[in-house]
Amino acid sequence: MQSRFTWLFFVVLLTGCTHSGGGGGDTKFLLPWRNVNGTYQLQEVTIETLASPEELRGEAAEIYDQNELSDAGFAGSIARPHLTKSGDVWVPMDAESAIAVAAYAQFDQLFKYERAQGTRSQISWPRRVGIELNMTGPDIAAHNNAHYFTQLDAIGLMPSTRGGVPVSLNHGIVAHEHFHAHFQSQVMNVVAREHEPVIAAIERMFYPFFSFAAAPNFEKRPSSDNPRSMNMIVLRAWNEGLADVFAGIYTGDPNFFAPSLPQVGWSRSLTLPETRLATGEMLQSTLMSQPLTDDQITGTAYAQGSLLARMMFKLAMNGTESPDSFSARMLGRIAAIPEAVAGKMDHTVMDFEDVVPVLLDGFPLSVDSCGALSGTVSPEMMKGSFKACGVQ
Amino acid sequence: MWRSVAILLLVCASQSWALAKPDYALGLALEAREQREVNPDTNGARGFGQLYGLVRMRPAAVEIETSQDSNETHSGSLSVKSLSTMVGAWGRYEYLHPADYTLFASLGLGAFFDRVDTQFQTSSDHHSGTRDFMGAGTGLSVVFWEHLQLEVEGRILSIQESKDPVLSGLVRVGCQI
Repeated sequence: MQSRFTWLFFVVLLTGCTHSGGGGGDTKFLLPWRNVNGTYQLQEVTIETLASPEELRGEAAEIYDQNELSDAGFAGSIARPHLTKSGDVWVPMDAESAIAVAAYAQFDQLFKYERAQGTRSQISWPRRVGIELNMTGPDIAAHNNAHYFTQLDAIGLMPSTRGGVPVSLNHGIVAHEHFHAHFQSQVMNVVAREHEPVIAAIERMFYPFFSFAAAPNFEKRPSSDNPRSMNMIVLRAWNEGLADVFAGIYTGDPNFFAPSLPQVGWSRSLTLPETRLATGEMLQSTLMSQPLTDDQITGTAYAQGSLLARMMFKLAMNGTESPDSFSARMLGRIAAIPEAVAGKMDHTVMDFEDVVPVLLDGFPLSVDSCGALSGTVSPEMMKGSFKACGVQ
Repeated sequence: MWRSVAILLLVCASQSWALAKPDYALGLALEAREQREVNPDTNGARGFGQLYGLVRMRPAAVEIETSQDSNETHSGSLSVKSLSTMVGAWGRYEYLHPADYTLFASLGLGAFFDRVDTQFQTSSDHHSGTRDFMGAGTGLSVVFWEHLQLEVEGRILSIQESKDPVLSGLVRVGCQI
């Protein structure tokens, strides 16, 4: 009899290892989410591209939780959230699981958005996203922040240490970082073929505490006698500004930073009045008059990017075409930037406005558009590139 | 699968009824459970108090147990509180039972009854869910002075919709009559 029980025991033990794993297709989760009215609240969200709720891997993204960075991306396994099932809804059982699933859900939505826009093929999918990354470094970069790692083509969403909407749950900030992948693919990777050491030095300046970035080299830092190095600041400004435009259009919210980062919500708002973009000459003279710190250089790029973003956002929203069409136009046009700047990179410090005619090539100019343009670009550019506005 | 476990438990019970007079035990247990984190490369250990009742009809036994676990986590304005009540039934077969101790193998099934309270910004939500589990284990049981029951048991659990097995260790102290 003893042998019979032993046999039965092992049969049941073996068959016990075949728990169902959940199917693919539409899966509904209770998530912290931005609703159609722009309000952040709890909501049941259907994810279409997730293969299984057990593991956050699908056509749209791969989510990593607290993984270390490696030369190839994120080291280790893909996140597996803690969930319980209530009817047909999966409910995260802790904050980390909720953030991990919500991060996937945002990329599910971006994936579908880009599919509808026809821009999906510009970058590779699934996108790689790390949440709750443990970074050492200044608080402003290691917490309550998000980064696009250019060398890894991956996004890092940092832990939240304050109230409000965590950065990783902010649809606008995630979309902003996502846009950087497009700019990297269409612009920086093309430019980098000739200027890689400079790009590495600039990346090191923006993300000084990430060990995979190149070590700083003073000679490669932006300096007034090195046009290439200063042009990288200009490219950075375009990258940041256009990322804000993309995120503003995607969310329909010109103040998308505010729910998570109220301290930058005002300065990065896309509704502030237009201000003229700086010229290359101004950037050069600033660098000649005093050596700027890394923070000052970063601040210059972000400030000029915001001026570009405000003007572009106004054009997107003024009814000439739908905001989504404008976004698709912008994503389509950024591929023309490398060719447009090729002759200037080594010889002249570019004006921050130089990208505007490239992006707006073929865009029908309305009175409103001309007003926004004339407040942002120089009269010379208005006369030369936007003759239809009739500026004398 | 569930049917085969139930059949096994019934077989164990029917065979053993004819063999021995039942003993009953009631007591407390401490369970340490090692389970993976959201990053599956890392594991965390959690401890729970447990209440159990045992009917022993040598060489088989049936055990009923229950425990509760609560957890509260935050990120920004997101707050998630979960309360899980576990109820499980385990069948045992004592495969070695010399005079002063018993070695047993066990199979069990049950469920975690979860309640999750979530708050985010100005919204809140309360959901209840269930996760079934099944498991297998092995352990050692000793009875002192005819009534004091001490047991240690190691288990492996498979929880519904979770890819990873959960390892568990239990220490029980009970009164046997």
